[in-house]
Amino acid sequence: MTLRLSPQVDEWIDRHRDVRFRFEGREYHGFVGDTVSSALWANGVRVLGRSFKYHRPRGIYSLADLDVNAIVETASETNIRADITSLREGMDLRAVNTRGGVLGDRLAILDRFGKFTPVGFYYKAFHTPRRLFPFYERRIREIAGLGTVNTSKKTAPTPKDYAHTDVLVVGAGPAGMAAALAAADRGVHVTLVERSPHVGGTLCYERAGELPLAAAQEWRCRVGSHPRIELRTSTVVAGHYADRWLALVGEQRLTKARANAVVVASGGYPQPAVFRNNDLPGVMLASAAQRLIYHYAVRPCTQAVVLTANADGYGAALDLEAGGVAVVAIVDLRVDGDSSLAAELCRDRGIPIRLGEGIYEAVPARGKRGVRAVRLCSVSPNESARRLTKDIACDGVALSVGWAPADELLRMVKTRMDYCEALHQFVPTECPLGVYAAGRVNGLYGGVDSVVEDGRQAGEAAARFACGEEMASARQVARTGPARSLADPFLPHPRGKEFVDFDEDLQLKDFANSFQEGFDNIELLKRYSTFGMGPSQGKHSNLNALRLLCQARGESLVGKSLTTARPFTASVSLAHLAGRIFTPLRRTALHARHEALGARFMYVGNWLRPEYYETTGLSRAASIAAEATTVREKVGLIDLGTLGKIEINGPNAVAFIERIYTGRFTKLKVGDSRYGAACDESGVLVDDSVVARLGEERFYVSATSSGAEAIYREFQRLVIEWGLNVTLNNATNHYAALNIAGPLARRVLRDVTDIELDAERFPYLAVREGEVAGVPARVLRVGFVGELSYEIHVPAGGMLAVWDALIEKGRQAGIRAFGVEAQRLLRLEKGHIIVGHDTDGLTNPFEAEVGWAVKMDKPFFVGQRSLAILQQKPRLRTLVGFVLSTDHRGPIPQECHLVIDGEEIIGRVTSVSHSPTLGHVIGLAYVPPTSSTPGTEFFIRVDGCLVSAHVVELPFYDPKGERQQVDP
Amino acid sequence: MSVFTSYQSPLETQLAALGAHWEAVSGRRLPMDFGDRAVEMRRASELALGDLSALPKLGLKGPGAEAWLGAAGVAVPEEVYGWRPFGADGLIMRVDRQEFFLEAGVGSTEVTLLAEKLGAHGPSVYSVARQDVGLTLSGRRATEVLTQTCSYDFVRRTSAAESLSHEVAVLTRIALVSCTVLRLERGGVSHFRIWCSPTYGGYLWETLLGIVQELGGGPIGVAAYGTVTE
Repeated sequence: MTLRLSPQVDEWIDRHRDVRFRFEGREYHGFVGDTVSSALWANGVRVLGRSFKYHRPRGIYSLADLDVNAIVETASETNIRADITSLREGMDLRAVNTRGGVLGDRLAILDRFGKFTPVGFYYKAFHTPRRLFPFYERRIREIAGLGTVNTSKKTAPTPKDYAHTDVLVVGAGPAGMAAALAAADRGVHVTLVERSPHVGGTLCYERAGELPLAAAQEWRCRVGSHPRIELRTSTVVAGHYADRWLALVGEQRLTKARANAVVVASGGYPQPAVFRNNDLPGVMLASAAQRLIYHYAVRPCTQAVVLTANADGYGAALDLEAGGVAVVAIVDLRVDGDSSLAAELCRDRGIPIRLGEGIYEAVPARGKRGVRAVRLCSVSPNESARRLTKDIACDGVALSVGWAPADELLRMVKTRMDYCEALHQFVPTECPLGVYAAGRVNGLYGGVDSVVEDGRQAGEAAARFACGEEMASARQVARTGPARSLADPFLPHPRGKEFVDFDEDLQLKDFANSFQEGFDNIELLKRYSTFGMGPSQGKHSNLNALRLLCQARGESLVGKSLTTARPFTASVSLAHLAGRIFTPLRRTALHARHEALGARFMYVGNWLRPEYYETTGLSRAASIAAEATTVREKVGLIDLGTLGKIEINGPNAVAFIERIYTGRFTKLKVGDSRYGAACDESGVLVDDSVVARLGEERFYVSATSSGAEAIYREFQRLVIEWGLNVTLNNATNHYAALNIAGPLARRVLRDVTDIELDAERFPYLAVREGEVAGVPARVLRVGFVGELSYEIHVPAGGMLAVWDALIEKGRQAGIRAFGVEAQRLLRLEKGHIIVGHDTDGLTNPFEAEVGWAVKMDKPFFVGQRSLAILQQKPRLRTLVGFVLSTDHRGPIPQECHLVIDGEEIIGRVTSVSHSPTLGHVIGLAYVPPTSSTPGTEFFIRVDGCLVSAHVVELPFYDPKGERQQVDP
Repeated sequence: MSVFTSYQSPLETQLAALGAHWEAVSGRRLPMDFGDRAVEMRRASELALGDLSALPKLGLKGPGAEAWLGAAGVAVPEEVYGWRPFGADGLIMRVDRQEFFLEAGVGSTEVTLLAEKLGAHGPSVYSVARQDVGLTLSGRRATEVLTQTCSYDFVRRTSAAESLSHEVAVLTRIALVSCTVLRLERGGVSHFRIWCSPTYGGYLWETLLGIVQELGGGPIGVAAYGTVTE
């Protein structure tokens, strides 16, 4: 560990716990608490990765989750951020995106051909011949890609969770800690979120060569022990949404946090200076060098040049010296220099200070694996007036030329950010209600005291807001100069390689070219040049890109804004986003029985229903046919648990039903049921039901499965709107139902019920209450499948007993379960429609041939006026039954196949099936009324062929209803 | 209408697969334990999920519901989603202005008797079938399960939540299923009663039990549940 320093106060590493790991095939040692980058740097490894496009060597730059070229992978995990990922024992790492290793990357040759690959080159070069584009695209992606995803890796569960708090504070630097303490001291619950493993922020590493402030230690202790502060370290606030919802991304999970108030004290991003070779390993932000020294006790370099334009750079120089680095020069881009205490100390210590100069270029070491010297030039607004001044040997350059506020979380919720000329940066001027900014993100760069005071005020205001005492976010903020940011941190070089965006290897010339090509708007410029679209989302390039654009346009930044900020602000793994997958599925009370019988399930909405029951040796079609035949010849059972079941009670119940359904119900006798068609206001058929009268004021409605929830909501709305004395109850979930159907149904049911079943006492369409298998039941005699059948409704918890009893008693009669497909076939044979299947969102009852259920002479029902109008107009289509000829051998039409007349589409098939009872294909289709006469031939297009069909009278089966009269 | 003896829980299959031991209590078949009551009792205070769906339930709805209950000597909660104890370890909850939900305690018969007294309906009051799946989520870590599945603040750290002077039931979604949740406190430990549609019961049980087991908990029977409520 050649660059490891002696122990530093408050260092993050545990020197008693050694960690062995490998990088690019070589073994190294680090400590618990190291990141991958800090451990490698301590071992003298300078090249941590290769750049995205030119494969240039890159090292540590920010050490703050923005080192997008120091990305490594293991055999099982890729795109690991080396600068923030904790070192773990046994890690075997390699850099991503290299051919032949990070030192011998063969693709480094691309750096020499940079002039041939300007921004947008692939748009221009590879579009012809078109057939070769996929080839080029693949190659480019391979060369420019990041890591390779291991798709066979077994992922660990990463459940999401929810959290609630009064005040959520983003960032545990001085402003964040002060805000959290101030809010918590007012008695509210505070969640303090910090992306690094330790609190303190800049207090931990911006020390100007001194020991940490004693007050800082006290704040950290108080924050850690305050009973009302919940501290979440190693957690990034990655998204900020309306109503103060925030996405907290920790190591294990994503937390959706809801706060009553939010304080954003996220600090600022140090910004790079843009000069030739500003990306060489060894050139880094001053804050990265300070972090290396104080967090990880690693010497950043041996001899450093500090390039600065503010007091922070002088403080960094003192920190470098404290870390054993010889500062060979402080190069201050400002002619007047700095008057801070840090600058004074630097002068006292004899550190050479060069005012009004900048770095013309960093001179690379062999293989560009480091920096060997810097070449200085004078700084002049006039580029041609610049002159080279001095070469200084060094192996490190620390940059401190300005800041950009870490304001994404503010901008995501539409905080107004205005450019402040005095500070040369954006500051928040109008925050949404309950959102507060504090500290550097709020434009405060003075001493610790002013930042802490700003945090305290924000925390108190947030606490008041959280408690409902104050309903405003506006605060007076005293932002004082001098500016810490440089308005023009660009030092162009005729040979280029001055990098603005390290994610995408974008140089100054790329911005100039983009502008020249007409991309003169910041959003367009972003999309064309791709600045800000890499893993760091432009945290080092967004502001500089806007500065460059404004320079090119000759405009000020005042009134301008950065590109739109959207979640997420940091990289979030797909596993975090996935979390657990909740997919609620509804099962009927008989689900276990269906499974035991070999049911193949189908989704009907979110219900699981048996499509059919597999029979050994039979195909799907044959199984369905066998089920249907059993119903026709013996007896079958089908689970109808999904049906809508609604109770309508009260003195106005019958009046309510009269208004809902198109038929008449006033004279419906107690113990009888009737078909009910329901329309919406436009006359569209929306549901059909069996309406059963259980008492003078008690009705039970069995509605369609798919429409149950919607029609109940509509019932609720209408009962309120009409002000009727009606008590509604949606019993869909609490009642189960089945249908026992077939000529032997009565015989089987008789043995398990106390209800009289003979035809006289229980005729067709009657309803009775009694017990089935000891369970209280409502039994309706209906005929949906065209056979003698009883629909049995019981409380859900009793249905297993009912089913088991019927199966047991029906064994001798050859009873079997039948599924949804067999039921669809049976009702088709009977010519019964299914609303939503044989109708669509425009079908009225007349078209669907249920006009017989519409009593237009009633005083009122929903949709009546519309139907009266429709009745006066020529009908556009009619639902008819059709058959294919018995000798048809071609493809069989399917639902939704089109009815064709010449070149015209004149209708569509809604239901079709081969009928085992009738021995040919039958179906329902919409056709023009002119084609609806029985015997009319029409054509259905099937796989490009036209299949002949003939209209027939409905129903196909048992037209006289004799099957209801069977008495076995 | 909804109280009968042949009741079977929608979770019957899931409970059987876990080795449930059943006992008939007041005519209802209850999963008493899963093999080791001592383990389940410890589990109940740490993290456990149990099925109480078989406890008799009754729903009453209608403008005359409150008066009818009053006449039957049942004290009703005043506010919607408020609740009161009913009989031996049972409860009555007002789920709407004119709607009430009653659930019996283990082995108690008050709800059954009340249901028989009401029959299908009374004056402006109607019996409503309640076949809800009823779960109990108990133990020190129960809120961890809820924070992973529900956006409602059951942890109650915020000042607004702390200021609630009394407990009311909450209508919310757990693992995307609409549920009624009631937080109860015993000996400083929260336990939660969760009711949902029986059609979602299997899914909800499997989802919650998966998380409970991942966090080191497991299922408990009615016997161990008794220790939670004592």
